[in-house]
Amino acid sequence: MTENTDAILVATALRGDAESFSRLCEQYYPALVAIAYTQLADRGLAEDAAQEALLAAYRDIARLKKPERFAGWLAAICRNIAIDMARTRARQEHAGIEDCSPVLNTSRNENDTVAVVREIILRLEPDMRDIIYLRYNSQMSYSRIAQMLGISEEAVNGKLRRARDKIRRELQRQASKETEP
Amino acid sequence: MNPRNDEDRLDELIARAADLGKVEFDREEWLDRLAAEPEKPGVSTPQTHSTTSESHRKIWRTIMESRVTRYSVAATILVAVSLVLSDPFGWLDGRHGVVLADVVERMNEVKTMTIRERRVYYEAGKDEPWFKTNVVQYVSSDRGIVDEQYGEDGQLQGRAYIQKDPPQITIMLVGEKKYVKLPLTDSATRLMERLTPKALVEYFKAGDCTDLGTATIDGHEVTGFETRDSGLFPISGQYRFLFPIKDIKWQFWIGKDQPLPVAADLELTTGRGLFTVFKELRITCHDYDMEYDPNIPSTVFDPNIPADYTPLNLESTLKENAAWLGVGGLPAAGIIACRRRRTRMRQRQTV
Repeated sequence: MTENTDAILVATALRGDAESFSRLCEQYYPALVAIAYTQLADRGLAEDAAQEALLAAYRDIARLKKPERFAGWLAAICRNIAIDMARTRARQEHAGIEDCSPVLNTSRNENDTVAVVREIILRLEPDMRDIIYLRYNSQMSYSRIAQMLGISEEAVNGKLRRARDKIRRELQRQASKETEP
Repeated sequence: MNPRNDEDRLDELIARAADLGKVEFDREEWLDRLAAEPEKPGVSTPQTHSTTSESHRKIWRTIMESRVTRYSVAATILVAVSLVLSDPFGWLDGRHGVVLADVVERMNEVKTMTIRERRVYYEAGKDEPWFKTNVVQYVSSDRGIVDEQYGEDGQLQGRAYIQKDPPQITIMLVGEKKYVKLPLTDSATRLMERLTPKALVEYFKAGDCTDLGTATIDGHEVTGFETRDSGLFPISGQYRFLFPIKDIKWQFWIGKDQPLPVAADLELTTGRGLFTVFKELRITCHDYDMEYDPNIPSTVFDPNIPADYTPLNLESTLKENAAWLGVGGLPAAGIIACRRRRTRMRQRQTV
């Protein structure tokens, strides 16, 4: 789906075409969950955040004067909501409230390589995390990721490459630490 | 291991680590959440433009909180449904003792009708009515339909016009001194076409009907017929989110002395939709005092908006919400438990 396609769908959705919004929802919901997950590291909370984002977008759609920027606008809403939720959770933790889980509550029993990689990903810079999840989980193209994050395809490519390098180096570092006498 | 294999291995690890499982949007849960959600100030949406969203929010809140408004909107659909009353009998033809061909022929000659209706709304599963109205409908085969809705106190609450020319719906809200005009867009026109007597007759031809026997109504000896909808109501597909009818039961009572309907009863249950204020409803309509070819002044069909009424900018809101609630077109697949935040917060999910 291109920016132009989005623009057409948003415009027709605003004119009352239900099918158009259906397609937008189907298209973006998984990506919103992925973006929220990079902030919250909790699938359930991420889905909450994604739904909140749709509600907020629904309430504020009149603000969107450039329908071709719908994807980036929606992603920004979702990220803001997820960040707010993460902050709230952090405050609750700080206050000693037990009903919350830390962002990186890695189980020491889940000590396999995948868990280690997941932890490394969630320690990357936020934009790298987004790209990793949009690329590997949502399986979005570079152009679609660029559209959602409001950056160029070249930037997506570069950040993804740097993210992979970091993950590889960190894995190697941890592996060498484990083999040290 | 060669570098290529290393890269593939890294890709595989990252893909597994980033796998969140299948994520799908669930329309019903989202609508639940929308209905339950109080307005939340402070949500950080990008400030890209000066905004009219506040007014939209107020309008939406008006729709959600005003009984008159919500039911005036809902009434527009029910008015359309009631079109069937002007020619619902083709499906019965030849199968019952009443000479139904005569009914159809006679109905085709009718140019105007007035109908009185008692319309009661119940929330699903509740016995106490949620809302009651008395309705007077004026029907003209040339001009359209006017639906006047009165409260229990006899006060006029609202008036809805469905005009053929120009093709538009006009709703006047007496209490609020507001009015709104909704053009019959292509989509809406298609919806209306599905609700015409012809379309409904076509539909009902596909169903079975039951002979209810004879009775006396208002001094007329009548024969009754009943049919039940089995999910094939003409509001289908992408329009179902507006007024998602689950089940419908029609009863018609036809006079023996003259081949015309004397009374009709309609009971329908709905799912959550824009025009049901996201509630599951049971709605009963009892139509009586049907007059045929009365002399109705043509001005009745002209929306005559008093000078002190101001426009309610409902059109854009309805369009907007219709669009956004158009997730009705989505297949409801997967489960998103929007209420699970509380429980999830108690669970320490490992990452």
